[in-house]
Parts: sequence; structure tokens; C-alpha cells
Amino acid sequence: MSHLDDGTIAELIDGELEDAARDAALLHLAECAACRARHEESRSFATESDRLIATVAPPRAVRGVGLPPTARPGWRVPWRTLGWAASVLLATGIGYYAGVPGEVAGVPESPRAVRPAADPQELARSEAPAPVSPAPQAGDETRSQAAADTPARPPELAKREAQAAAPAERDRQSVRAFALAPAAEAPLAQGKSAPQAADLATVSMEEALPALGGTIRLIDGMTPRQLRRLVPEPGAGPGNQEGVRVVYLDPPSRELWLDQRRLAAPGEDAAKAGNLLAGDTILVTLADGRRRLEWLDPAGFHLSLSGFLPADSLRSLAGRIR
Amino acid sequence: MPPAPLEQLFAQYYQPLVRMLYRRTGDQDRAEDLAQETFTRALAAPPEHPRPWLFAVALNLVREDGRRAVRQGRRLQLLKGELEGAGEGADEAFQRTAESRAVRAALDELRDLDREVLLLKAEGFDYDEIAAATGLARSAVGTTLTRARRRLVEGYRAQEKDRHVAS
Repeated sequence: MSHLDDGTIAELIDGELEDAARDAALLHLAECAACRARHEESRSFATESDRLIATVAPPRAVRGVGLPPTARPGWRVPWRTLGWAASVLLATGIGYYAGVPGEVAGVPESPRAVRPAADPQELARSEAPAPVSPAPQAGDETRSQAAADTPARPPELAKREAQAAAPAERDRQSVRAFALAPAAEAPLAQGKSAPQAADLATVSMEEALPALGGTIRLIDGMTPRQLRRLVPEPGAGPGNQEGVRVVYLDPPSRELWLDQRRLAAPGEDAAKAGNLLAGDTILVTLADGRRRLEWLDPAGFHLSLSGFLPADSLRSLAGRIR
Repeated sequence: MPPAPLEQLFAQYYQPLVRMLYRRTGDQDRAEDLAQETFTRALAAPPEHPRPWLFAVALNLVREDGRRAVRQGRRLQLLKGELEGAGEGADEAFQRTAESRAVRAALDELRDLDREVLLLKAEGFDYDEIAAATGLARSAVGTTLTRARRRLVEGYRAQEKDRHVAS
């Protein structure tokens, strides 16, 4: 038998050889001193490298580990049903805005400039966001999974969705509760979120929609956990109207906020509201560590997405807002 | 097999992912950010075979990260945090930190693929999973590991020798 190569010796050490190959290798080692020496050396290096790597460990407790096990009382809102209603209303809104240049929502693909925010604790210059990509094509099995998971639709909703065609179809699939199973609704994360003056009591979808003039933007592929009404902030500039906060949970169950405010009442000029111009994107890091991405929607809405996620993740999620 | 719920993936893989990323980057904040970004991507495309997928995505994110100067800056802050480890004497903490630093320096000297294979093996990946996560041929995993282990140990010994000579 020829000598054992390094790969075979490594497989023997790591228990990766099939029985017959292992027996043959052991037999050779019993007869070949040179291979025995190489085997011993490789085993020594393997043991030492394992020991060395084990000395490198995060110095503090890894944050975000462990999702709350119990369901939060009171959150029996039928999100799937409301998700259907939202998708229908969104489809209706898309149809209404079809004649308006630009899309209903979303981050501009190429912001021309980044302008300083009014209240940053730490200001990060915004890079051009990642190109807005269509809903991820996760493969036929994912779409069929989505179709299999989708509950039966009332006939009137099905008819409206058929009329709205592709956008509604995508929204119907995207509202499927993939991220968090309905039976394990987690309590909202405590601690890091600083309460904001604009937060008010939670509202239902039916109560929230009038604040935005009939449409609400959602993140494709994520299930909203809560809706809150946002009142005009004290001291804000002209044109600042009330709005809605859609609350999601990120993987460690911390709140992710999609805030949307109408900048102007219907008929008013929203172009000069606030510190933003259409096409600008602002990235701000707040005192509590939350990052916030803000931009203007061509339809006259101020949108912001904030959470304890990296900036790239926020941009990626912003690109999925419909 | 349908994709596992995200909570299950998170509970099972978040901590090992952060640990691997920390060993790869030397920066716990960055490691946690990258791990969270990895799971954010899992929201969009739930993987059928989560372990190699999650670690492969995480390693890709590290490769895309070009902010080496920022990482080096954070590493100085991290060193301070390590020295303040609770429940240890100052000498023990310093020794552990010095060894950990030497190991990270030796890891940094490895080729990317060698380092990744080594770190995945340390997380209990078998050869098939390492091949799936790195794109390496399964038949090449053994030789890559052999080379990586040798270079890590030799690199660490060289670091320790320099440290003792300097002190």
C-alpha cells in the first residue's frame, strides 16, 4: 500500500473515514513508521489548534440570545386576517397611485446627497443604499411553501386581488407569518428602546389607515406585531401630520419601527417639509444605540426605519417596503 | 423538509455564529452585527439546510466588510474590556488575554479559506458541511485542515516567542 496522504490522515484523525478505509489506514500505520510519525504530528497539531481556538471567545455575554418563551397577553389580533385586508387596501392604493410618477413607497435607488440630520447623537454619512431589489426569489420551494401556508381567502378579497394582479399577489405571500409563529408571539423586548414622546396607544389597522389617507406601508416578508399612532411632534416644521408606527420584531425580539407620516395634508406642498429633500437618505445613530434610516416618499410621506440592526440590514429591509 | 421557524434557528445557531465570527474578526460588536444581518437575510430566504447556509452567509459578509481600520480601532476597546474580566486575578486575565491575542494574530496570518475551514471545524462542522459552507471540494477539506492547523500552531509559537523575547 502507498503512503497515506495528508488528507487521509486528517480524515482518520477527525473520524471522517468510512469503516473499510479506516481499517486499511490503521493497518498501514501499524506497518509504516514514517506515516506513523506524520499521523502523530498531525494529531498533535489538531489538538493544539483546537486548544488555541478555544481560548478565543467573546469577552462578554452574547447579547440577544434567548427568545422570551411566553406569549404576550392581549396580542390576539388576527394578523393574518388584517394582513389580507392590508394587502387588499395596499393593492387598491397602488391602483390609485398608478398614474403618479414614482412608486408608492421605497428608498430612492440613488440618493443624490446626504444632508445632516437635525438631532443626531452620532451622524453617519449615508452611502448609496443597496439597489432596490425585487422580493427575494427564494426558489420555487419557498413560493410553493408560501402558497401552501396561505389560508383560504374570502371570495370578495380574492376578486379584488385578482384585479390588482402582481403586486397584490406578492403582498399576499409576503404577509405570511414566516418570521415568528403566531402561537409563540413574543413579548416585546424591554430595555434598550427609549420611549418616544410621539408614541401613543396601539391602534388597529382600521384606526391607523385614516391617519395615512388609506394606505399603509409594510415590509415585505415580515409580520407586523403592533400598530401605534404617531401624533405630530412638538416643535416640528410645517406640514408634519400624524402618522403610524408599524412595529416588527427583529431576530432577538427587539423592536423594529417603520414610521410613516404624511408630510402634508392632501393638496398641500410636501416638497419642502422638514430637513429632507426627495432623494435624500439620512442615517442616524440614536443615544440608545438604535439606528434610523429616513427618507421622503414621492407621495408625500416621511418614512423612517429604525432598529438595533446594522445600517446595511436597515437598507435591505427598506428596499422591501411596499 | 420545510424550513425551521426562525426562533428555532436563532436559538440554535446565534451563539455559535457569534463565536465563530468573533474568532474571525476579533470584534464582538461586529460579530453580533454580522450575525444579526445573517439572520435578517434568513428572513428573506429561509434556508432548507440552515447550518452551512448561515455560516456561509456570515463568512461572505465578513469578506465584504472592508472597514479594516474601524475593526482595528474597535479591537483596542475590546482589549480593555477583556482586561476587566470579572472573577479573575489581574495576572490570570492578562495571561489569558495575551494568549488570545496571540492566537488571533496567528489566525489573521492564515489564508482566508484556511482560517474559515479551521473555524468551522471548531464549531463542530463535519467535512461535508465544511465543503457546503465554503465551496471547497469535500476531498480537499482534509488537506486544507492539515495545512491550517500546522500554520496556526506554528504562527502562534512564533508570536509567543517574539513576546517572550521582547519582555
